[in-house]
Amino acid sequence: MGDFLKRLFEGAGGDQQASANDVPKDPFSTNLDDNGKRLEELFLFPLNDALKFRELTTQSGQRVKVLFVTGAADTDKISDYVIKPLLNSETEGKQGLTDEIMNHVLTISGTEKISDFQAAVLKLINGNTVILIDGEKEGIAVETAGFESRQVAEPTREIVIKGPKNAFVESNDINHSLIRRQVKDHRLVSETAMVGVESPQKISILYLDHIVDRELVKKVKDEIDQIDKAAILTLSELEELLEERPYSLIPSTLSTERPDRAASFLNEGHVVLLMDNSPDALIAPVTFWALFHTAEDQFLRWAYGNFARIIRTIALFLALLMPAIYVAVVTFHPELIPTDLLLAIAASRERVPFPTLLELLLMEITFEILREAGIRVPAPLGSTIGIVGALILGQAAVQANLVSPLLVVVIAITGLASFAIPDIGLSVMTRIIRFIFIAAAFFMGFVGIALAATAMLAYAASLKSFGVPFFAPLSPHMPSSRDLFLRPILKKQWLRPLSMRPRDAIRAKPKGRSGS
Amino acid sequence: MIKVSDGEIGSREFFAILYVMMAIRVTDSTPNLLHESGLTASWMIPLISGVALIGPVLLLFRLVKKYETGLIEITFELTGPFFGRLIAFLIFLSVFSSLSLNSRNYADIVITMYYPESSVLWILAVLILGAALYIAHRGLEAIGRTALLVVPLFIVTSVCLVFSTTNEMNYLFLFPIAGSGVTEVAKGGIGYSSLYADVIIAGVLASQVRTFNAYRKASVWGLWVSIGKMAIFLAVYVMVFDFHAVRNIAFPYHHLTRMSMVGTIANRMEAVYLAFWYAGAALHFAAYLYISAFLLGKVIGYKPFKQLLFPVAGTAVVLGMVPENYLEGGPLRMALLYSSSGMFLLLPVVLWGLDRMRKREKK
Repeated sequence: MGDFLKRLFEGAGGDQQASANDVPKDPFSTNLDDNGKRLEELFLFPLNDALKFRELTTQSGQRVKVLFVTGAADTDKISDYVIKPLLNSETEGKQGLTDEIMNHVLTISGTEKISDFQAAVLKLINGNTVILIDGEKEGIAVETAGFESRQVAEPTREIVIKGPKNAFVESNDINHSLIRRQVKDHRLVSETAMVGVESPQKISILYLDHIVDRELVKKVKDEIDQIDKAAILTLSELEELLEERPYSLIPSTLSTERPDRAASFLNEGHVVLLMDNSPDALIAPVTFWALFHTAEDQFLRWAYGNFARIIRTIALFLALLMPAIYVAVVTFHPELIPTDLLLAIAASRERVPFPTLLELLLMEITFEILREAGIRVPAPLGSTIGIVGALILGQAAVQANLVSPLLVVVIAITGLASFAIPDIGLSVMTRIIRFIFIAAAFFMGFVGIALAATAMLAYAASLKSFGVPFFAPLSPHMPSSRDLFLRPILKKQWLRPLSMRPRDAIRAKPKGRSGS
Repeated sequence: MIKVSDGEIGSREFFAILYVMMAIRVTDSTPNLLHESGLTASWMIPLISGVALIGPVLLLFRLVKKYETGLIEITFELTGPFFGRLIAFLIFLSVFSSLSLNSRNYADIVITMYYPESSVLWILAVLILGAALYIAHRGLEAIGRTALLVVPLFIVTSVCLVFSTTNEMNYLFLFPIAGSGVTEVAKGGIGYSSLYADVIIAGVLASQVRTFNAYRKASVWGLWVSIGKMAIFLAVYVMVFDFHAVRNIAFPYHHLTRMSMVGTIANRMEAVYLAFWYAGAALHFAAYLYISAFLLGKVIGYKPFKQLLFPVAGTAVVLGMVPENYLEGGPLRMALLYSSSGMFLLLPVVLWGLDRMRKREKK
């Protein structure tokens, strides 16, 4: 009765299969056939042809079963390094057969002993090969994962002209090696956590042990532990689940596809998360500066990098405020415009029947549609759409007196400026906030813009990502290398931002010349 | 080890809060009051106020250092719960009435100078209930951090404003140097010292500043930077408009922004200054609202004082609507400033005296 009620309330159907984590931790039996049968059942054998097994007998007549999942394991590896040595092995009459095979027969690097079905299933679905030996209570899991993966390629989102040009790929191992190649430090810790109740996925938590704040690592791990979802396929999903404020416009983690960026964050005491299937790394915590900086700022010479940053700051403000300022100036503060320009604007708006706000929204929304369409358009059509969208639509809209030519310029500058913002989160946030500013400007001109800006700034400044304030170390002020709106020369960047609470705040302190 | 987010603010944030509380007074009708009593020497009045405040501020520092807590807790400790509450209530009254009167004043400035067709209530409500209430609701950390982000911009715009009007200045307008007479100026300086009493009021937040040294440093800097700014601007007003005219100009700052020019292309820049000024106003009122609610919470013994923000803000807007026009508010402000000057100058002295007496009793 109790069981029935339990099933009724938990909604578990009678023929439902247990997920990998729910597989009972039953130990193997000594009978090889029983063990094989049990695993077959767990993998729904006749129905599901994923589980492959090969039964073989060693030179000394010992029966051995080799099991693996197609698609997950590399069959060449299995035949060369598992089956071949097993077939040639002499194991008769020896004690501790499992150890003997592990230590003297298999010619593959990663092996592990397993003793229950849950471990066996977990190993199998992760591409390992499981070897069961007749008469032994333990099996061997061999690392033969051979998931298909593409080659390391150039980044697509965070492009630089000067600097390393490799990007993360969908394979966790390759991503690890890309980071290890950058951070050659024995204190680079890589912890593993599992997420997903139904189909568990490995997440690697990377940090530099001598720098990172221990509490931060604990916080990140706690957050990951609390995730209670059936399946998490990519880091982007994890990102949202980790966030403290999923509804907020401001991101609290950053995803980068550049190993060099991930490495530089590690060096500042951030935590980096990697996951199979995700061609990026998740960085936590994140500040405004992390979203605003690009990798190239540090690669370029001091003056060039800072020039880029100044331009980007201007672009950020233009992208946020340009249309709002246009509305405010045209409707509330026309005296701000030099007289000649004012007359020109009035002349160009003369034939437009709509109020400024409507005209602006029409154009803004068209531009947003263009942008959204541009992402989905198949590549061969891209240039055509660009021409239709930008040239024909803009030209025709002006000629049809739907919008004034000046407004097309305003929208074009705003659009261009928003492309100069490096991070996708920051860029989308700017685009959304722009509409709030337009509304504020429409109601109260510059007063509206000022009040909206202050309120939003207060919101952003009060936010914390894993305990680190969004504008730290500028506000609240903390000692740092002042790598904020501008960057100092590399020699002067010897202090890690204390807002990250690094255990070791000082990078190599400069000796002698201060670089001036 | 520095804790990043422990609800406390550092010296720079506290300085920024003091700056938005005090320095913004150059933009409202405060200069008129000072011009009235100091004439050409009005720029000396803030300096004299500063001198008058040195004693009380130093005594306050001693008390804060000794008790390691905020002004209100010290008052409760030294005067007992009844008088503690009474004093807290008096401070609340002065902060709150200044909030209410000033907010009306600011709304009036916007209506008169920029948006003649809007209604006062609309501007007031958006400013106080919209922006300031929201910012104050995010907490003291948010006020401090936001202020720290924007205060450098305010300082830059002030410097720009002074430099872009240098063409209009005539330093001879500053003479006679003693203005209305030495005694008049000194009297004005002491009488209006409550314009900078914010440095004592902000003592109620002392327990939320990370260290005593940070508190002291920020208070000293906040005080002299605000006083310096006021003195410079008063001198600039006199130099630009001459003292006869400046007494009849309702809002000298906003007239000054109309004279600000950048080359020959942009010769009407006032809207830009308007934006920065109003951002500052939002923060100014946010700080005032926060302190009002904090004090009211202490008076009625209500711990979650943030819930008082909304009623306080609403009452401020309603009371701000009471005067028929801007001129009615003027005498009220003057009365408020004079009466609270005495209170704020004396409060630290009285507390310090009580502290001494207690010490002697113990011996």
